[in-house]
Amino acid sequence: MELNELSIAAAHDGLAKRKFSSKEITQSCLDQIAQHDKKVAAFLNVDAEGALAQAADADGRIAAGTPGALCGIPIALKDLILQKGTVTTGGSKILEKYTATYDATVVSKLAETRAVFIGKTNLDEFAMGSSTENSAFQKTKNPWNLERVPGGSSGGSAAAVAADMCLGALGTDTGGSVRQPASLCGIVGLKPTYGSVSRYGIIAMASSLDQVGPMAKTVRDAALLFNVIAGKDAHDSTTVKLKPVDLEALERGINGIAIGIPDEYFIEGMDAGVQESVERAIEKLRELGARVSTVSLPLTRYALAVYQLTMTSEVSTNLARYDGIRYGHSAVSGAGTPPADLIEVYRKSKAAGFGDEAKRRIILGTFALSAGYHDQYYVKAQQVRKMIEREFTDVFKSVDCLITPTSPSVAFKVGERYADPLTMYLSDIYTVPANMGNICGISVPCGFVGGLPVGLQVLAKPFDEATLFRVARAYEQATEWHARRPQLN
Amino acid sequence: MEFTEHDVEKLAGLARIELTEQQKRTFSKQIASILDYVRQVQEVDTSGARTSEGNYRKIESLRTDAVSQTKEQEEIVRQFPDRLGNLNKVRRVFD
Repeated sequence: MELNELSIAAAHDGLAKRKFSSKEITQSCLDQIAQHDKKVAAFLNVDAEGALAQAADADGRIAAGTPGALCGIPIALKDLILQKGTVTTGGSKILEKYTATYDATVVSKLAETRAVFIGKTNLDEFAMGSSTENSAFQKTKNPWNLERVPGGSSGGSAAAVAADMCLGALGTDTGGSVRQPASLCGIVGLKPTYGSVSRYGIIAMASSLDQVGPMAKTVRDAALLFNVIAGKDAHDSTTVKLKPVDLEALERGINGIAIGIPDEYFIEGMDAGVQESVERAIEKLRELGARVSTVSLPLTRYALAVYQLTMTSEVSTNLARYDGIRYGHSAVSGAGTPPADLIEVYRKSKAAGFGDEAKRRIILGTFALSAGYHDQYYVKAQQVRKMIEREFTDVFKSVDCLITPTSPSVAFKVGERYADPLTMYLSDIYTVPANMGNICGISVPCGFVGGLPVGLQVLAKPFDEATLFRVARAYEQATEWHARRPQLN
Repeated sequence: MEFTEHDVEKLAGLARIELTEQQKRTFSKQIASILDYVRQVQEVDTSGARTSEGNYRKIESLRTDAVSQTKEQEEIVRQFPDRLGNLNKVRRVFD
């Protein structure tokens, strides 16, 4: 096995025992990127020099004492996460030349542990999409099949982990943007409960939903990353104090745990192969000692509509800041006729800087918030959202977690859903309820259909990430799906 | 639901975005189909919903409202599209 193929836990073990150095692991990831990223296009920017310097520093720390879990481990960041001094584009032309002026809290926390930042990964513009095709710069391909999408919006991070170009990565999940690409690329992805991880320094899409989540090769690795990035932060008033997940407790199995299977998640339109894989996974969990029952969450069918209204409303306000005045692309300094007045600066800067998906969502969100429609759309959506949250609260009185597919299909072909926004939005039908219900969710590999990975989603009540990790870990240890690797040669 | 190019144009005006004629045509069709889908929220009986605006979350911590010195002044100022020393130069607001 090459060093870049190691899990974080195995790499940490090898580093602590001086079997190899962080410089060697980092070089091995850089070689993998050099060899394959022309095809995969997972990275927008690779910082080889910086990464090797950080690795040398980590090696020094390791020689001097007991290294932390992420010391010397190469990690990739979704390019929506600010890292001081690096160009951070958010996947948008409007920020093509924007240099981050400060570190996101998750970056500071990783830096403190001496993790190695290997580069910034591709994404749908401002995290708006389910295929990473909306990036203003490049289309990332699925390492399992280069004609297919990696999912999105954290498609670059998912592909980078799946292709062994880094040992772990961070993504963000507003409606499924960590879990869905994790599912489509055959890796593990966690959407933490809103409030678990600081949003300070994360380019905002929908502020009441955005959450940073780890993407990794194993459940244990995802838990290691989560423990480092989670917790209260003075810069984000919505964060809460959390106890770290007890990693040893993850190994204790799931005997007696109560699992609910929501009827509403097994709908028409799901690929037969996906359904079969998920049903087999449920059987496996039963063998491992779980008590399985059927539950009902009737409001689930409205979650995607509520999500669309909430998210686009927040997008229309959050994206108003890119107006060509303080930073980012501006019609003032661009080519062509100089704008006549201030309004022209706004109109032309946005016209040239935003892609179609961003523009469409701004228009829809402006509509949902406009006079005459605000009550009917935005307010109504917020009321239903509250009801969805209550429905989850009630169901978690009788079960410890829920099991569903992560995505109704395996990775689709590049271009297949691009022209039809509504069909693209339906890719998130199983992931958005967790964001709307303010709960946590994880995707873990549970099979293959036609050579493409299938993901199993586990959902648990707010701030009960420990249960997600425990169930997903038990499943992972009883199966070998997560150990399969795509052939890139 | 009907959603015309004129509707798109009006909203683009409010959002201060310039759109091409082609974008207005495409968006009006796409948004009409999305609105047909999202309109289903109106079927839900929300008469029992306790809040009018929904999701207020408990704020876990508030910081002191105190002035602090930013350390990144130069980095921030450098990104102004147009500047005059440390001032951000913009088009006149009033004639």
